[in-house]
Amino acid sequence: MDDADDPVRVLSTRLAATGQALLGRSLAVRHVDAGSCGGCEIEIGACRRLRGGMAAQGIALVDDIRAADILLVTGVATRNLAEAVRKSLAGMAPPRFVVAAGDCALDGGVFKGAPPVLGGVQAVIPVDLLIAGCPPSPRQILAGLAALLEANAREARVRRTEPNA
Amino acid sequence: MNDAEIAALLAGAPVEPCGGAALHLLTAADWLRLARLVDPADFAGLFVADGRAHALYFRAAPLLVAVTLEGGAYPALSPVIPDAGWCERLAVDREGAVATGAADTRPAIRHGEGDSAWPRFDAPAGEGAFQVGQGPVAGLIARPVHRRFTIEAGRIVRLEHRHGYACRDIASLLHGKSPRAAARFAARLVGDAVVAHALAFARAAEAAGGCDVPPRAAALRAAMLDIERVTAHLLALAAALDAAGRPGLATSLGRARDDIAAAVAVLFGHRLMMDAVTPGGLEVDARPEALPALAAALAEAAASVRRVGEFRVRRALGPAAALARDRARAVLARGAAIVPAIEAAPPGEIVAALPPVSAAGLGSAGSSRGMVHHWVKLHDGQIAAAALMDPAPRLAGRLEVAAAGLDIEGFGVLEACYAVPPGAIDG
Ligand code: SF4
Repeated sequence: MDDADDPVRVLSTRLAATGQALLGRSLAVRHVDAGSCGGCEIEIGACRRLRGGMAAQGIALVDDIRAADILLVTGVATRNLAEAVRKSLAGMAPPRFVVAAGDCALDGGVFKGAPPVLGGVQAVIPVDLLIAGCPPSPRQILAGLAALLEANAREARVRRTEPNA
Repeated sequence: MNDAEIAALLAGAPVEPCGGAALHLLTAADWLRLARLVDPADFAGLFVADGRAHALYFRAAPLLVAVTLEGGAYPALSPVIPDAGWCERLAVDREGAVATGAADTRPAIRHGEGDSAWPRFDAPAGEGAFQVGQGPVAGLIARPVHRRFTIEAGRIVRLEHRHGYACRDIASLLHGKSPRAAARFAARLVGDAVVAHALAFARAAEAAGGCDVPPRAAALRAAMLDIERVTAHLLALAAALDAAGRPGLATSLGRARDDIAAAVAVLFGHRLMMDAVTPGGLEVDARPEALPALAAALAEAAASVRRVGEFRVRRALGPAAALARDRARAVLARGAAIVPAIEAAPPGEIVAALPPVSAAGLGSAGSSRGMVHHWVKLHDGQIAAAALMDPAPRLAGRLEVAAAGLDIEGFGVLEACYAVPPGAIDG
């Protein structure tokens, strides 16, 4: 396949470019596991390794929450992790985005209604984007991140061009 | 010999039927005698149900024994079988059953107030020792566990875990469901052993109901287990090499896993084979057009994994070198058998009906961490009680012991190679 047609490369390039336009630097993603089986984490790991993907475009996972632009949350949101999720968001400087990845993070997935489960990330903090799948594939994760940032870049442009905004 | 003594001990005990095994009901004295006679490495799990504590030992075949709870308590196994320590702590948190004489009585997954509950860690022992906490949000791909290291002169003298962050209470979610409906929950205990848990659960339900799985399903299930073990070994090796400062080889191993997953997505319809196994057989048949891609990905895995044996790599892996070697060998041995096994699977049906019975059953399947076991008790074809046993709680205890004497970096490599996902402990 020609590099220019490779969907992963196309998506990653779009994601990196939008990140630059919005933030003026490379995107940083902080992952938080809010009670997952570990399957979503396996695919986030794969997302990092995609040939021509995140890493090739300078998009990195970071462990310093203060350096993060995107909070990527997986898992059902258990009672025992709610505080850690809230603290993670509170540690981020704006503009900040929250992405809930995986059916568990959407609404608890198959575990919805279990007593220790709050039922998805939205039960704890506001979420900007939901990525469905159990687990979502690496490409779905990448496509989700790209779509989120592009939507925000559009909004930012609209705000800039509105005379009284 | 112990075997003869064990046989004599069991011969005197009443037996209850349990598909896939027999349940031996022991007195408290025999429960303890047996624990001293078995090889501690054969301890496979502990669970509480029906007013009894059950211990499972497994060598070539399962040995399931139970003792009646007295005032909610049973004799602890942990003084003779250290691997049972975390299992006993879990039984207190889940069922309130107390192991009398247990080596460690702290909660395992229960968080809360009060003296006996978390947070509570043992105070540093010696002068100059200090404690460092890590988690429940730590690492680039975070794992929901809290670790407390006691450090002295740059070395870990003690490691303690606080679990329970990822608790979804899966065993109770199975309750009242048909085995087919419940399989989705069993499969989601832990993402690197989806097939193993779905299969152990299915085998338990099949053993209870006396259901014979069609030969094609049995053959494909075995190949699926091998695929999952190979991919899980690759992920653990990649994580360990990443922690050991060998990102190039880590990426090669990880990509080999990703390429296997991409082939498996075509072969069985899902990258992790989620929900492919169902009680009675399989939900999906193999699509042979994916086999060339799978063979190529497995060859890529074999080539990368051979490099784990190189001197410089072994040295970088330090305390994890032996475990990494075992994982690498498993990738080579199991990987080579997968495609021929799928090609040789006999044609025919892939699922059989599951009779709605009232009976108990035990099922086992291999994961990259070791055997996983499920016990189910059915009432009119619905689940009345269930236990999911992953090696993770046993490994958590071993990791705590193995951490002593390492520095934090060395521990990071060892922990990555152990690959004990918190969800597998929390349930
Ligand atoms: S969405 Fe699926 S893969 Fe992800 S954590 Fe939940 S059960 Fe696991």
